[in-house]
Amino acid sequence: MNNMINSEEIIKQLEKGLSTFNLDPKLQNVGAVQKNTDGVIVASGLSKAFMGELVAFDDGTEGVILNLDEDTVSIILLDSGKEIKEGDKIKTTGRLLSINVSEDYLGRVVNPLGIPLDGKSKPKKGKDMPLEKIAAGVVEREPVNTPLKTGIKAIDAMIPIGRGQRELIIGDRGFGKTAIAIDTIINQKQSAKTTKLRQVFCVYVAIGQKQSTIAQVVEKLKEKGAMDYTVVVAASASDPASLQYLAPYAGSAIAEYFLEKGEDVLVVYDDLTKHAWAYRQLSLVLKRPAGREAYPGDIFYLHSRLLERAVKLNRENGGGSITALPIIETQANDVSAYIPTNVISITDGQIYLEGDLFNSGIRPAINIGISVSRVGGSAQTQAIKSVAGKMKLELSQYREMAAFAQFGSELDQTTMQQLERGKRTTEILKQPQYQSFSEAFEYLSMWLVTSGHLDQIPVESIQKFEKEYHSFVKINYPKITNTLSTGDKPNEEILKQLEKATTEFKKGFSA
Amino acid sequence: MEKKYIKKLALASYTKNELDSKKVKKIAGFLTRNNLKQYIKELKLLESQKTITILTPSFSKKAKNDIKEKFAKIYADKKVIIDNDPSLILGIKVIDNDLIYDLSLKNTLDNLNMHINEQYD
Repeated sequence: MNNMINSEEIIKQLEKGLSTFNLDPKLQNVGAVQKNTDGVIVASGLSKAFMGELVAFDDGTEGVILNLDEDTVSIILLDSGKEIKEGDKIKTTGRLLSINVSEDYLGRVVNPLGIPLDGKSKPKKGKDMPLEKIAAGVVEREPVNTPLKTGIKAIDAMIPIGRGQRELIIGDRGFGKTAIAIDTIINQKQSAKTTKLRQVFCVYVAIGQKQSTIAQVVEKLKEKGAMDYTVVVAASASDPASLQYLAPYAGSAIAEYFLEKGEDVLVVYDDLTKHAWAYRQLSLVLKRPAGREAYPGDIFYLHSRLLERAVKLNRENGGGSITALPIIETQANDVSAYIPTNVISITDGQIYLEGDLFNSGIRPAINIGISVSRVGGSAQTQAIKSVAGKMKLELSQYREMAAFAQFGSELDQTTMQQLERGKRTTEILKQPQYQSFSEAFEYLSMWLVTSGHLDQIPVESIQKFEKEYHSFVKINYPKITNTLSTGDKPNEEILKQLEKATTEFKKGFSA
Repeated sequence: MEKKYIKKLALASYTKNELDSKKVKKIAGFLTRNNLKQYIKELKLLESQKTITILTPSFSKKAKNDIKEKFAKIYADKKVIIDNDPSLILGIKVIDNDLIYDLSLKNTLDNLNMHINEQYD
């Protein structure tokens, strides 16, 4: 009997549900379809409609108003809209486009409207988050001060990313842009476990990608256990341009839901080049004046308003953050094209991937020379900071010397040493995909090379040395790894132990 | 011919707020096929702007006259048309070009249905 639903309970629930019902009749504004061209509807009527308002068609299809003209409005369809004919009725909804978000969305693959694409049940209802939102103001923000560990040595050491930063990943196709982003997402699990940093929730926005590529990414994230704290927003190449245009804003809206709860969020926009293409397509169909490379005049604002939503809130406003990792695909390494220069100027730095490096086996193929992080330095942990500075200096000296050395002239002892050190530094910065390093291991690798312990080791044995050294220290000197995990600068005692451990290991190491 | 001139022609086709068939015939004679199409469109738009349609579920002549009188006062410069729509159940629905004031029981029940569906989705 206890399992039976009480009728009084049902009535109570219904009353509760109905208490929010608004009896006031709504004024309906209607219009009629004049034209349906390539996912854009031109409609008459709708005199009271406003920009960005959600409108509904008779067959249930929805659209968003993007142009308000003298007699007509232009609407982008959120569906294929094949059934929509001239004369069909349209009505306004009085709502802005929003996505319903809850914790249930973690681990799910959804489209920009929040509809699940993974074949599982509908996620629980949560809060409606508007897709378009003005970014937090100056008063609510604070400077970037917490690191966001990517688990990639080269980035964490030389191009550090902070929570709330916007760091662009730029490069030609196939040189590992997505790999960096995915590695960063995967690393958040161990970063939360091994350091005192908070868990970072992740949103991966796939724009205009192949369905197979998206499926691969999702599968990889699942395999590495990263889907537990990740939401994937997917608008594939086969989706209408309108959905591809909305996808990054939907990702941002999902991130803002967690931000409001005071959490740290990482959003990857993969990639904004295709986003700009989708917007260019819409703008041309909307007959907006075309500018450089046929992009519309507001293409800069398109990305700046999106990336402005990356934020580090101060404690009074919850203390959460949204870190943005936009990705831009260049053609033939041309960073001076229209969209790359736009996004470079918006972001707080860029990670530049180069084909030559990639092909010569340096992976991740990051060009340290032109990659920068404008704000991340202040977020770097003291431990990494204490070794990264020296490493950066040595590496830049090496690059300069390497150019000279090519002439084949005789070199003095110091230069030779610098060259050898540089080779080893470059070697130690190599890192296979999906093998993110913890804070302690990153420190150990950097310390090894900067303290000269690798100078006698042949370059080809460096990777092996590093791998075995890490497990040696972890097993025999757990105190060192535990102390380094805190991110504090190691004291004299730890450094002494480290020296001892290294000497001990080197004795037993055979190249 | 530009759209704005056709719009002017459509406005000029009225005499004392009523569509003048003589004027329309004369104007139509000067227009090309494309312009004529646009002209008809503009006239239709003007007509719908000058008309108020009121839908009521009641068939009683008296009630209809009462409603018409009242609305004629509110919309003095517009033509008021009364129509029957039993599906409204109760209340009225006023259609003013692209604005619809739906004060019917059907609309309230529909909204209630939608609200419950949203709540228990």
